[in-house]
Amino acid sequence: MKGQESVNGNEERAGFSASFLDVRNLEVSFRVRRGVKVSTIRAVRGVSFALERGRILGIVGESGSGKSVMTSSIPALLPAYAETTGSVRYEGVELLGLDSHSLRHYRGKRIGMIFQEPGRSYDPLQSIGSVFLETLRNSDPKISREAARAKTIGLLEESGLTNAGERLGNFPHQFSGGQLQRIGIALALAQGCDLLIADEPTTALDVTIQAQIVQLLKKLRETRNISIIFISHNIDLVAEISDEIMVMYGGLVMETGRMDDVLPSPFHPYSKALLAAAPRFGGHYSVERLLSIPGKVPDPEEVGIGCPFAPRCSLAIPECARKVPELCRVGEVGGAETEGLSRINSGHYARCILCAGATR
Amino acid sequence: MKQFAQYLGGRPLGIATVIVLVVLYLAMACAEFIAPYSATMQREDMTYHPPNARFYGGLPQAQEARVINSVTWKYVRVRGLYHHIGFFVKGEPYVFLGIVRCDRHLFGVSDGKYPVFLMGADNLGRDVFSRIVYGSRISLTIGFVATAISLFLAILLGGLSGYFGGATDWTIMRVSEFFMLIPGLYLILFLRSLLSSKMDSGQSYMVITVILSLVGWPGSARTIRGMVHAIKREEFVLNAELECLPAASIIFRHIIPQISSLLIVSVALSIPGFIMSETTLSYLGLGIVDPAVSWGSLIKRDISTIANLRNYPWLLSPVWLLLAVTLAFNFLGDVLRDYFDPYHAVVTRPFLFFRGKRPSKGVDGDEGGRS
Amino acid sequence: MTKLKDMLSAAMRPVFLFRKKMPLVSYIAGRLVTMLAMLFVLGLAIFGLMELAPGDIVDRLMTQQLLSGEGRAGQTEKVLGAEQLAATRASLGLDKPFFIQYFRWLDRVVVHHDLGTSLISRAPVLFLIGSRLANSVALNLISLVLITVFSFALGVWFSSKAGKPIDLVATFFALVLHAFPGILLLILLQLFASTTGIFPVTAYPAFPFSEAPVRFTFSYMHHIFLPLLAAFLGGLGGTMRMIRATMLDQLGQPYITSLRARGISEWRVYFNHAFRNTLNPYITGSANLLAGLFSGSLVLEIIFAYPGIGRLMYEAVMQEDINLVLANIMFISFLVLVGMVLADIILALVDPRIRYGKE
Repeated sequence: MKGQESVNGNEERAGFSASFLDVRNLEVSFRVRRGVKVSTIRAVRGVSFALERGRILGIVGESGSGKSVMTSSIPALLPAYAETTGSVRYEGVELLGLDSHSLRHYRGKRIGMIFQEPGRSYDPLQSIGSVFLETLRNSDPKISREAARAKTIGLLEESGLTNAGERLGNFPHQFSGGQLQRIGIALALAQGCDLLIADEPTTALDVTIQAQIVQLLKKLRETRNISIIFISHNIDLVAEISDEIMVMYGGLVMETGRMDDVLPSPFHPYSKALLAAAPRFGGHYSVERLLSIPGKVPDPEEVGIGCPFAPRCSLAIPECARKVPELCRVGEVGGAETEGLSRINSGHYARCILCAGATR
Repeated sequence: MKQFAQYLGGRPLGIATVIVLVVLYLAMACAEFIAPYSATMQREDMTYHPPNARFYGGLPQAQEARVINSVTWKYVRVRGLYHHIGFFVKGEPYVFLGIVRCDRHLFGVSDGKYPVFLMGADNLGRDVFSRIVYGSRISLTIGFVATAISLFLAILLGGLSGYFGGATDWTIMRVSEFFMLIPGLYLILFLRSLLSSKMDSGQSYMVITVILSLVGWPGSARTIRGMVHAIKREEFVLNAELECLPAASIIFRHIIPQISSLLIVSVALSIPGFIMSETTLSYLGLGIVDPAVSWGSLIKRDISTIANLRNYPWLLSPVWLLLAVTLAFNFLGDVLRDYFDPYHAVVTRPFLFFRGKRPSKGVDGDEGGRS
Repeated sequence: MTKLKDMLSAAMRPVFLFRKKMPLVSYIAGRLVTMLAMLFVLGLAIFGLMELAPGDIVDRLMTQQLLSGEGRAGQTEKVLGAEQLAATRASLGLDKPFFIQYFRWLDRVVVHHDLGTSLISRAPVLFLIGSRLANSVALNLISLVLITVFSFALGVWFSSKAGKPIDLVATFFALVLHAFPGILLLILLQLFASTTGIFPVTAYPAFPFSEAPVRFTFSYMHHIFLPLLAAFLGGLGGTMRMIRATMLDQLGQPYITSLRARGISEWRVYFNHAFRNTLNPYITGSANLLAGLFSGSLVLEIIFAYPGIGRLMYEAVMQEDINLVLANIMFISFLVLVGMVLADIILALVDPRIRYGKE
């Protein structure tokens, strides 16, 4: 059966239909032809979440968990052979199924994106100044060159790029990775977006630059009050920046909730394993081995019946392989909870049989 | 191999080309059996005899014809004068596959009194069909031999060049550039002119093959060099080096097999090129020399002048066969390329349509998969 | 040793400055220098090959004269005596070492503009080549332009319809055109011309340009229509497929997604971005295309009796006219080299990665 998800607090969320971004039961699959056979790749199998203005949602998961596909489907940036079902509401407007003309009102102008490989995200034949001019003209066709130039310099400086004015004539291959990512952020904000989707923005950069980019994003959230969806496979980075966290595995949400709830006491075995596996500074001084999660991520082409994490889970029981558990609230039955306060906006949920039996 | 057969099953064009090629090559192997006459049998009284196989009385028959104009060699069919065409008919003796002595041919005139010209006769009264069958020996094999030599050179020089880099690479690349600088046919003509123009038929085959290979290797060598260069950085190469394996072994036993798919496609696509080069040379009179026959020499310039072709169109028969072979190899190469590199095949919407699914809205791109 | 190094770097300093200040000009200059060097070595190689060939020029002279049966004042050798052979060799400088011979030839060619005379027609080689060269270049340039324009138009159009039935049909036809041997197409077209009489069987008007320029131009177009069609169709198949594939390749790149994410219109994405990026690979491949066109036009000129350099080459080879063959080869290589250098220069103008290099 498809991964069914019953979102606890559906009732609560219904009261907040004016949520900035509201995603319900999002499923994405691809029909692919390899050689003779046609197969279906189920990349996302039912994801729901809500995001408020000015909040940062961090999505963590390994490759193949469906995190990038899911976020790419929000502004409908998936290839034509992708099938998307479910609901994505942005300020109450349904985005899935919109025609491309209407989508253009949202892309860039309301929803911005930055990508994983800044080095390959620019047209190599276009100078940076020209890129900005084109983007600014997209929202405001009448803007003059001088005004565009001034605005560009402003945006670039806001993103921390020094000597912006002199470098407008340079081409992408003349910048470093970190600079290109800053330019990417400035570009995404150029049309005044309210939601920024950052798809693994730091994965291709080195560690010091990673920290700088993350700081930049936090600063931008303060100054512009934008919402950010930050995707990474690095749980430490996500922890640093996010207000809310979502852990994905095998196309499904495994655990979600506020950062303060989830991180200190993760419930799901996968989240616990991720935290345990993250290398800690100074770890190389100890004789302990680096923990790793045995096994491999599931193949989205061969979707199994039970919980996708069961084959690798140390707490798995035979029941786990039979049926995908539902997402249920942590803290109501079992689990190690220290807090008793119930959440209104969002609760701490996990998809594990260990907290099944909780109220729907 | 089995996978490939399965893949072929889904592509009708692939099946068709394989069948065509198999038929042609089998026919070539059994040339003596299939051809009713030898390539050199000539009959002066039958110059430019038109094709004369007909159905008469429900059976294949050969019709006689008489010359009415011995200047333009126009023939007129004699009504009612037929000779029965039989199968497995006794004809000129030959040695089948070099081992068995036979004298049965696939078909021929049962009473042996009048020749059957499936595709007419040429200016010396030689049966064009037989000559085509015998000519296939050279036309179809020269492609393979030249490709083999060319590939060998390309792998050798490309491999050395890509692996060692530095001065070796530089020299070999310069040399290959010179070969590539002179356009193909000019180079062939030039090399051909270096050798004396008087060659006998045996020599001509070897000479042409060598010339063709020399012209063909630089292109592949450069590609192979690029690939070797890239593969060299992989870890298994470092492993092999640490094990003190000799460089030659590393290059040829470890790296080259990685690009075998590329090589197979390249082989399939170069064979028709070589076949046509030989054809061009023979057409110009600089290739295969009598008594050896190739399809190119059958459409030689002196024979296939415009006047001749207008009056005796059956002289063009080799053209269609050449076309068939060239197209077949090219299609096969295309199918092979798609088979080895499925990531380049664009997902086809009509395919999805036939499966009853509606394509969803979105943006075009190539295959997706993991996030 | 270090002193040598210092001197070298001091000497090279102006070159580096030049490079920095005017990157484009220095790139072009570098290409031209490389071209000249390659021509030099090419000449050496060809000259060397001819040396290696069995028999040398004097033997051929003998053969020529025996075949043609006439003598020439000053070099007539009716009797093939060994001494006389040696004397001729000496007079032609053939007993000197190879390099000296080459330099003497070079000197003759470059300084005195004398490429020698054809052994058969006794006409100066330069004269023979000159007129034909213009013809061949004209024909091939027209081919190249037509192929480029149409394959871009069709390639871009079909890439937007990728996967649809019409695209599959078009791709199939492109494959057929690409695979169709040029020589066969030419033969068939000529047969067509002779049987229907719509188009002439030769490719060059019967009267010279000077007689009636306007009529000549029209007649010329009428004459070259069929051979041009053959060359055009042959080149179109492969090039159109390549451009289509490159477009599709570009459309799968991350920067396209990035552009769409910003809401840029699909039209702009297609033409201002994806299309511009297909120029680079095409320009790189166009030099090869030109060489292929020249090669193909050789047969074309023979079959359609077009007075071009290809037919000259064929006749020279058939008649074993060494001087002509040598000069022909050098010229055609020169043309291809010029094409390559031009392609490099255009590429540098179009692609900032090459113009500005890495920083």
